[in-house]
Amino acid sequence: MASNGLIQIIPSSVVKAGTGSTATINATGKVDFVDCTSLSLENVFSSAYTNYMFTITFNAAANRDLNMRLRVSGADDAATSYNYNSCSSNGTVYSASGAVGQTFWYLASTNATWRVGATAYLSYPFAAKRTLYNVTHINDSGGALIWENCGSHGDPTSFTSVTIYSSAGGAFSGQICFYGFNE
Amino acid sequence: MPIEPFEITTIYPDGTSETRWSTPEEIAQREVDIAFAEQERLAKEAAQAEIIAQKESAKAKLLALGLSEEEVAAIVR
Repeated sequence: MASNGLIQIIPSSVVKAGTGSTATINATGKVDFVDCTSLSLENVFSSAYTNYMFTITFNAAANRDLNMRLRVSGADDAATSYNYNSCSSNGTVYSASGAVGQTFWYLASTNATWRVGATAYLSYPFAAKRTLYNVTHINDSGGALIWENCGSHGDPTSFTSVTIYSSAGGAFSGQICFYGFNE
Repeated sequence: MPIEPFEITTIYPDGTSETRWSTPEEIAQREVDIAFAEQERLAKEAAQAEIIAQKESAKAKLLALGLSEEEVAAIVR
């Protein structure tokens, strides 16, 4: 029996797109990916856990905004069910924004030089309840930027998987690890 | 702008994989996503330009009121 705490999850498969892209599922569950325009991690949500965390580090050859969607039965949910609010601080500049009825949740951004690290938490994705998420991301721009996004999915549906994609279709590379909170 | 069909590959933990072509629905979604991203990019640029213009306008008005360059810089960053 697994001990309490974070348990790393091995996706049953990953589904990727992108010219010349590669993806590898390591024995631990870590997924390395190169030049993907979208990346889905299949069956990372189950009845085993209520709360999940994933860490993603990535970079790209140009500006990229990464979004995420919940997924089930091999298809992304792109309905207008995603609500979120964002706040960021870059030195002394603060900003906030929010949107409801979107077709995705915002995840993180990079450009041609930044390496980005993001940590996301999701609650109830597998339960037939509204999924909750929050993500914090930082980059190594040399400044002191932090970006926090929180939100909910308006449809109380059971999801098994998640897709991360580049909003404008550009490629991104990095690694992602998924965990469940064994409570 | 229409995009070409693209390959989608499923990779399993044992390293095996299967590749297929994107469906019309997946292509259509990609087109919608790219168009939305471009729309958002243009909106952000316009909002940023508006903020810069408002700051410049505020600076000019404060200078006209008799504030020094240093005082204006302290207020409008």
